This record gives sequence, structure tokens and C-alpha cells, in this order.
Amino acid sequence: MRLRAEWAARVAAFALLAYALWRALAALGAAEAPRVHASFDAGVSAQTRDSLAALARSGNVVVWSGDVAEVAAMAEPEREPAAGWRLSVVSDAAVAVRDSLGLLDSLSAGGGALDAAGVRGTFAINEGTTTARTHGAVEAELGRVLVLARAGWEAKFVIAGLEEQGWRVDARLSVAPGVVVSQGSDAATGARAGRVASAAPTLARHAAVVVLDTAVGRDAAAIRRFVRAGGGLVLAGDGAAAPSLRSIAPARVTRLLAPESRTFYGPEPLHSLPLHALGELRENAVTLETRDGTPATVAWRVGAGRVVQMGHGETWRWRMQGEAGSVAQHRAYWSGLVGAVAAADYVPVDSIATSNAAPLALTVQALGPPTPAPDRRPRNPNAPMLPPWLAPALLALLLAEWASRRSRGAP
Amino acid sequence: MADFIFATVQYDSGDWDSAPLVPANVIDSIARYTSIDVQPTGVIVPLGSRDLFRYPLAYLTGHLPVRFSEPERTTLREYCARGGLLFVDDHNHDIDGEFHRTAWEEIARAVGPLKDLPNDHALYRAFFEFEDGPPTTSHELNGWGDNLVHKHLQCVMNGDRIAVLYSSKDYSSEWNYHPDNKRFLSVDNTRFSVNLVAYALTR
Repeated sequence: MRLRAEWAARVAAFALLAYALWRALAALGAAEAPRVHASFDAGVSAQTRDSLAALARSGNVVVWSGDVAEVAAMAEPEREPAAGWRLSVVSDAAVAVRDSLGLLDSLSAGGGALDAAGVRGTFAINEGTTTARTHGAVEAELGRVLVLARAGWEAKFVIAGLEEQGWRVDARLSVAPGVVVSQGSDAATGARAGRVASAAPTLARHAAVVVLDTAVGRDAAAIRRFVRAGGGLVLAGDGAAAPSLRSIAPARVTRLLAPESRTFYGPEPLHSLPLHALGELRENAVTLETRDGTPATVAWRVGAGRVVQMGHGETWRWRMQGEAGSVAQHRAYWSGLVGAVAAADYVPVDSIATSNAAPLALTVQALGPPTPAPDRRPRNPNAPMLPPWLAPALLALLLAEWASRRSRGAP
Repeated sequence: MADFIFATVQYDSGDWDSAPLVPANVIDSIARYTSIDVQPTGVIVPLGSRDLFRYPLAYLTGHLPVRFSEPERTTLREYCARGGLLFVDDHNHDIDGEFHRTAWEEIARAVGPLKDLPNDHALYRAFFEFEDGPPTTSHELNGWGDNLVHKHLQCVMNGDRIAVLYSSKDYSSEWNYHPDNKRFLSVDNTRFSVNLVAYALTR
């Protein structure tokens, strides 16, 4: 009986040691469980996400959970001076768009695009508690615009409108046979402003060329090369029918339509202008504007450049004779035409510090997919690895077994 | 329709039609020296009428005191803001006369104060070269000392463009003759009018 009790004490002691070993191994296994769990129920900022990503990359286990909305935004500079930005948003719910001064606009579920000028700070797109922030990653550097025309009101007011809209304009305006009046940079014309003998223009610094006259003459070859290399070309008014540029025009002038009226009041002031109706469109040409079903403005790509052909003539009358606001409308119209084709150099700007353009996508990219929040409470790192009773119990068993053995004279 | 139509401004006060041969003479010079598509005859347009906006360059002259009506001021103000250019010439041979004083007042009231136009302005090389600024005339001060008294033309600017050009040179007398008589001149004295039109059409 006594020997059995001693064997029982030994077995119990070994069992306790095995239990202690299991607990220790379990504790070691638990050390590989998440050390950091972030909850983004109130949204996630770029700074927080970047901090957690740094923790993860330094050997810590970081997981996250929370309701980060599916919203992403991108801001691109408009290709017009001082025109601001075009913001494109994709979202699964309605969003509000703000800058640092306040609300700019709102977009319905699915997202959309909006044009915004004079934005202060970054765009903030709010969907619930999630805020996406972005500003343009690039800035557009626009070159100069060269206007080729004969001296006339159309040329004067096209130049004026573009300059008032912020474009830097050079001009070569034919005044008499063999004589042009040049304006703008010396680099563009090779001469100071004023009357100069005509010479082929240098187009290296230009983003676009506007042709308002049919007589382009020896400039045509340089313009064709310029467009194929990525430059923009606007063929407008009489220039829409320039024969020497027909090979790169998206359409042909088929006939001249008289103005529908001579008053510029009403919803369609351009209908009060004569129109070089366009037809015989090229295969890839896109019609941008029509008058009574007749193409009035058509565009297409030539090589790396773009060409827009606009048939409205005498648009200066719209500016001078139109209703209040027609000056600004005329400027915006011409700036839009040139901006549609102008070549732009995009220069990267620093946006790392403030960009959080797609909170969910960027968080998944940095920290992995969300992990459900753990059910149990996190273990106290200061809690003992083994239960406090284990050591006394083990000691008592070993002492009892030893005392029993010694009391009966066994070694 | 021609690219350029010479417009003479008719205003309620004064003698707006004091130089009736100037339009024909200027039109003759434009046709003679340039390829600008010019209408063979000029037009007369009331200053207070919205028809003024059909002619972005307009010519105003007279001898007598000038008082614009409120509609005339309003129209002129809008005309200049939209990009029109009004050329005003004092038809008198005097200094600081009635037309001069009243026209300055009215222009200042309608558009803004006049100031000297630099003699190296682009206007003076828009077609012909006038290195010394505005050409003198044989009429102003009877041809004696005009360049000393009236060294500059005056202007009101709209940005970097001329909105109102004011002359005390009396070009209205200088150019007020039948164009056929140019053959009697060794140097055509209307050449500056070509610069004025070329500037207006290009700048």
C-alpha cells in the first residue's frame, strides 16, 4: 500500500512537470500571436497607417479592423492656365468634397468628376468617418501658344482672350504681302515685337498653334511636324479650310452657313456666327459640337499630337456684341479649345506627406486585409506563465514521496 | 463682310462731323499700304448705341465742348472693357482749349484718367516706324512747336492694351482732304493712321 502511494506521488509529480512543460510551450506559442491590433472605426489617417506599417516592417505583428469606406480620389491639373484641377472620385456611397476653406461640392454614390479652381490646401473627400485626401501628384507646365492669322478683329480678340485667360501668346499676323506683325517672345519669332519680315516660326517652346487664316504658306510643314511630335493645333474660322493643313485636319469644310440671327442673346450665341460646316470626317475623328446636326467642332489625334477643327467664324462678335458675361465666355471658349489640344509637361510635386487618396486600398497595401477583432481579452503580459499552486504542489508530492521512502529505510 | 470698317462716332453734343474727309483718306491709306480687307466706305455710329460694339476701332473728333450723355458714358465704358479702342482727336489748333478740357473730363468720367503714352510704344512701329513717337502735323499750332508742346499722345489702358487714345495733334485737320491729293505730298501724312488701324487689329 505504501509503495503504491509513493508510486502515485511520483506519477503525480511527473504529471505536474508535464503540465508545466505544456504551459510553458503554450506561452511560447502565444508570443507569435498579434502584438498590435489597430481599430479604424473612426477612419484612418495617412500618418497612422504609415506608423503601423513601420511597426510591421520592424518585426512586429500588426493587424487591423474597422469600417474604412471604399473611396478613392485622384486630382489632375487642367491643361489651361489657372484652370485648377479635375477631381475624379470613386466611392460606394455619396461623398462630400472639401478643401481647407470649406465645402466645394458633393458627389452621389459611384463617384464622378468635378472641376475646381482656387482650391486651398488638399481635397478632402468625406464618406462617413473615412476621409480621403489628395492633391495633384503633378503640375502641368504649359508652353506658349502661337497664333497665325491675318490682321483682323478675330485674331485680335482671340489673342486678347487667351492672354486674359493666362496663356502666354505669340502671334504672327499678316498685315501686308511679305510683312507680318509679330508679338510675344523673341525666342518664338526671332524678332522683337513689331513689324518684321515674315519667316518660318520656331515651335520648340509652344504647346499649341492656332491657325485663323487659310494662308499658312511655308509654316505648314513646320506645323505638321510639330503636331506629329506631340503639339496641339487649332484650325478655326477661315483657318479650318487651310488647304496646306488638310492632311492633318480631322474633317473638311463643306460649305459656309450664314448666321441664324445677328443678335447674340439667347442660349446659343454661337448660332449667331457664320459657320464653316464640317463634313467628310476622318475615321477616328470625334465630333465635339454641332449646329442643327452639322458638325461644327471636330477633333482627332495625329501622331503624338491633337488637332481640333472649329468652324465658327467671327467669334469676336460674340465677345463685343454678346450679353453680359460674353467676354468671359469667349475667353473660356477659346481657352478650352487650346487646352483640349495643348501639349503639357507634367512635373511631379511632393504629395507623400498629405496624400491619403484611397484609404482602404492603401491600408490593405500597407497592413494586409482587415482581421476580425479578437474575442478574448488580450493576455496580461505581466501574468505568470505557470499557475501559482503548481510549484508548492510539486514540492509537496516530492517531499511526501521522499519522507515515505526514508521512513521505511529505503534509499 | 470686310475685316475692317472705319467708324466715326456721333455724339449728342459738339460737332462730331467736323472732319468728313478723314474716313475716306484713312481707308485709302489702309488699302494702299496693307492687305487688310477694308470696306470702301466708313460708317457713322452713335456713341450711345449698341451698334458701336460692331466696330472695335472708332474715331471721335470735334471742335466744340464735349458732354456725353449718361447712355453714351455707359456704352463707352462697356465698349472699352470689352476690348474696343476709341481714338479721340482734338480738331482745334489750340492748347488746352474747350474740346481738350471737356473731352479729358468726359473720358476720365467714363473710362478713366488719360496718361502719356510712351513714345516707344508698339503703336509707333505697328506698321511704319515712328522713332520719335507721334508724328507732328502742319496744322497744330500752325506747324510751330507742336512737338515741344504735345510730346506724347495720351491713353487709357485696358490691361496692356490701349482702350482710349487721345491726340492733341489735330490729325483731323491733317488728314481731312481728298485722297487723290496725296500725290502732291512728298511724304504721305496719313501713314500714322495705318499704324493706328494695324495696332487696333493686331493688339
